[in-house]
Amino acid sequence: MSSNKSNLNKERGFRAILPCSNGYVFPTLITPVLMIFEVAMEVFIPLLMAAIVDGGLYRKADFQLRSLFSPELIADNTRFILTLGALMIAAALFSLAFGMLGARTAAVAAMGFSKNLRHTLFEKIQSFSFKNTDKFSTPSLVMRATADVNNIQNLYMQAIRVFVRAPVMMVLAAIMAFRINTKLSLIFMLALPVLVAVLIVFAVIGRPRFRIWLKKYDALNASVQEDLTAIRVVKSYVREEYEKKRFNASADDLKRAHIKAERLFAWTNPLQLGVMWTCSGILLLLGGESVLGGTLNTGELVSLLTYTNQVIGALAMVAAIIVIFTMTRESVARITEVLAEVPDIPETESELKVESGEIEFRNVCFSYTNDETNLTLRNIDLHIRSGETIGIIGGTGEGKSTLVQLIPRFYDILSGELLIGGRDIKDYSLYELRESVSMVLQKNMLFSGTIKENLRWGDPNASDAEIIEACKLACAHDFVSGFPAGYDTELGQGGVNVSGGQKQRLCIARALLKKPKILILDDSTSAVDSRTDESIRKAFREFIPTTTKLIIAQRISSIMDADRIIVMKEGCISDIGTHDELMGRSEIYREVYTSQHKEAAANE
Amino acid sequence: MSKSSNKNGAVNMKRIRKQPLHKGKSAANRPSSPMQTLMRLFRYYGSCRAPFIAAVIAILLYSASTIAASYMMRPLVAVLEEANITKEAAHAKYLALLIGMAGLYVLGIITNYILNLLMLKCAATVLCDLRKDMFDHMQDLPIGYFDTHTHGELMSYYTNDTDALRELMHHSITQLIISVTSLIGVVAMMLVLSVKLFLIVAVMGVIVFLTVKYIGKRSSRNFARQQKAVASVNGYIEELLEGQRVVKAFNHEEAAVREFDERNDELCAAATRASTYANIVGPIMNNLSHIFYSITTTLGVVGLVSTGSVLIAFLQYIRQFADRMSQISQQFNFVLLALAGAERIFALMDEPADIDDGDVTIGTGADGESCWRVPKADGGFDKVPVKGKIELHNVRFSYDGKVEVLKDISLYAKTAQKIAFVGSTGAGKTTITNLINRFYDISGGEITYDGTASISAG
Repeated sequence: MSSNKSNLNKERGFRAILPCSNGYVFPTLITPVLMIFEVAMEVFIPLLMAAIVDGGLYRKADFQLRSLFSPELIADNTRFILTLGALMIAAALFSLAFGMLGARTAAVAAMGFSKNLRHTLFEKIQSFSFKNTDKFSTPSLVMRATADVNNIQNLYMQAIRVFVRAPVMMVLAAIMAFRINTKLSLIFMLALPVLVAVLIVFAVIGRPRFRIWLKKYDALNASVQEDLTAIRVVKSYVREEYEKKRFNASADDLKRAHIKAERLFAWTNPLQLGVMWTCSGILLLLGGESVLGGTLNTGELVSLLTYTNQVIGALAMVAAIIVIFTMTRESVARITEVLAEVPDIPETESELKVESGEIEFRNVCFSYTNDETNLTLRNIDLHIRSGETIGIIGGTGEGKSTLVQLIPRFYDILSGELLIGGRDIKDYSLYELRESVSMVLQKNMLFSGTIKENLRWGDPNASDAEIIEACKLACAHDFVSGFPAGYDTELGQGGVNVSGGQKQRLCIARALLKKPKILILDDSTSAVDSRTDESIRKAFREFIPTTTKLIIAQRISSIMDADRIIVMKEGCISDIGTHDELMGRSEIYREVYTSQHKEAAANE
Repeated sequence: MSKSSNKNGAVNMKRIRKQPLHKGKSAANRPSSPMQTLMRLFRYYGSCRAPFIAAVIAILLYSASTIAASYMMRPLVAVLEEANITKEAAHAKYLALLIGMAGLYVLGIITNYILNLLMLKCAATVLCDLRKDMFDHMQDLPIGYFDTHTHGELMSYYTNDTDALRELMHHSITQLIISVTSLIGVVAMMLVLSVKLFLIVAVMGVIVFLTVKYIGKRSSRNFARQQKAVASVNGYIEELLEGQRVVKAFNHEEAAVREFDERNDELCAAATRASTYANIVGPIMNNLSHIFYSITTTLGVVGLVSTGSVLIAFLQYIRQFADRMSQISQQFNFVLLALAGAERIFALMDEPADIDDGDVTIGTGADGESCWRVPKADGGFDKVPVKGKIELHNVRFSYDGKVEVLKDISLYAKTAQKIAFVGSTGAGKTTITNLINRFYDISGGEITYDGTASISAG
């Protein structure tokens, strides 16, 4: 495991997500090329300007690019100026064309890349077992698939557009400047390291301040969230004023941290201007001397000024990108961590079909942490015949849900053997196994879409008649047909438009549509009233007699009439038997029964 | 929502409470009354009036000094091209001008620092005040408000909308004021330098304006489409990951990836279009300025202006003109986005608060026991011991004003009695208890406490 981990660490980084540019390699590579062309044109224009001013306006004998033009053309001043003008405009038009093209290819490349990245990530997460998902936690995975992908997409776009453009701009503008006058150009070459050093110093000092600010910001939002969650309590105990005071204090705190962090950056703008203008000033001073001395033309001096601005502007851009780059590194690491995660439950290539709903546990142990000293289930031995109805009872945390979650291989057992239909469950493919085992989870969920669409999760090809049939068995048909839109009623995100009891019944109907060999209900009728619960169980007995049924319940009445009842205690099977047998010999069972019975008696 | 004519009041309430977060949001990227919102926002600057005014003065000084510094190019170049002057005189004059220019630069740098610092302080103060007001008001809102708004929705006022406002107040407003004042200054200086050349720039201004308008319209339409697609993809990710266990239990992984891909492809198409428009503004503006720079240079040299010094000074302004124009156009979108957020925040603040019109308070009686203090006409108080006797007289209640959940309920609980409520889901058990501590106001009848204090409808 440890050697495996260090291997994964190497993978973490920008390289690991590069394959996501697949299919978008051309726009990715052509964008920087287009950018280089655009920059080249842009840098060429001041040179042409120098030529037109010095050659056309001042009629100097020597000027930039003179060798490109024939003496006859230079002699005809108007024609010469118009030619140069046309060249300038052509250069600008080319630059425009390259710039627009680059804008398009960058968009195609970056959005395509992020599409692939999202797909890869989503597919990867779909392959996760429960254990993998538990490790990351759902909100964290959602964050990674949304906000982090977004950050990377922005960086990708910036990278292919500006990462090449800015340095090329710097180099080309510098070359042009040196071409005009080496001595004067050295000035801004000296200014550059100063600017770079200062920017780095700011970044170093600023980072911890920004971190404090963001932390306070998160804390403030967390306290709002907390207040929202507890708003009923706040109002019941008339704590509004106290909450206000508390919030005001942290808001003031945040304000101070905000100012402290950003105050530093109030310096960057004037600083950049300062460097730029100092360079311009020195250039004008020394350049003016040269012009008066006759070694430099006026137009050339002006274009030197333009090049200075271009170089320093490009440098500021590079600095900005480096900031984005470091900020995004965190996001990249968070995503590659998900991509490097190995699905905990390996798929079995197998054509084997589940023949019956017979289940057998042979000395099964299980631990969520794969730790033999921290077992959740211990030495489970259990044989369930096909078609049997088994009730499971026990307190919270005694291992009931864990036990049934092993059957569809949501988690793999640590030791022992688990057989279904007489074969080890690892002999079946995951798909076949889960098609045969239908489970209504404790934490139920329906999805946005219509009721019918949700039910078809059980069987994509189910006919309307089959759907109604399943809903009748689950006692859901009556209330569904009571809705104005019936089975086409839209459920909101997470199925929030139906009440808890209605949701549970729809989830049971969905599980029934799978026509499973084994049906597991994990505390799935808790919000359903006793009478409906009873008729659901009756329907199970009458209409799906050959399906093995495992029912976890808190209410004893829900499992009293099961063929056998398992009593779980501290990860072990404490006792198995019918209701009457257990009443006779299991103290735990008797206790639960009498306590619930007393309650029922008291309520009446 | 309208089709839910279910008689079950509690279920109805849930329906309103948890509608998908993303649905309503994408539609509201534009403020409905930007000016009003802006004015209301500016009122918040009242608490930092002095620094704000100082900041605006610094901005004006900064703009003026940069424009003046650019103008210095004209006399500088004029010295260089002057023929009938001695070398020493030229040197002296040139140096004097340069010192003047350096002075302007120094002023520009100082005012730039001051304006950045002051605007930061103002922004932080206003944000802090806004947050406090928002939170204070939220505490006073009736429970019904929290039923009909998701936590995510309320949180987004504190995160997304406040973030957009910070961006607006700290950067956009500063940039906008600088850009607008500079633009005015630049235009004025261009007119001073050469009216003829300015006409070319005026044409450029119109073209830039039309281009920005054309792209902006398409850009915002595509941006809205992209936001919708983002909401669709993110909503799907959220929902499916939340329900990952069900996905696994039903072998739904492949179908989930298929559906995801569909939405993802849609997002990719929309996002590509939107960001093409967003990307394209920069190069267009930049290169339009190059084109006009070239045209101006050519025409200037051909003879539209008399001297090189005028042309060179003018050329400096063309760049600034284009830069300012494109900055205004880019900031404009941010401003609209932030104002839309501000509008949502103000809407929250305008939500009617819980009506606390009760005049009965709880105090201690002579015997040290707590008692109700009921005000009398003469300004004194009747003291009634708190016993905990509750009576409901013909109470009626509805969550949404349409479906009546409680119809004519009359019941009482004597002191120290234990009362149980039995009934199926949605019958109104919880609702009754919620009315007793006035989480909701009743629509008919009366509830009395110890026979004295009471809440009644209307």
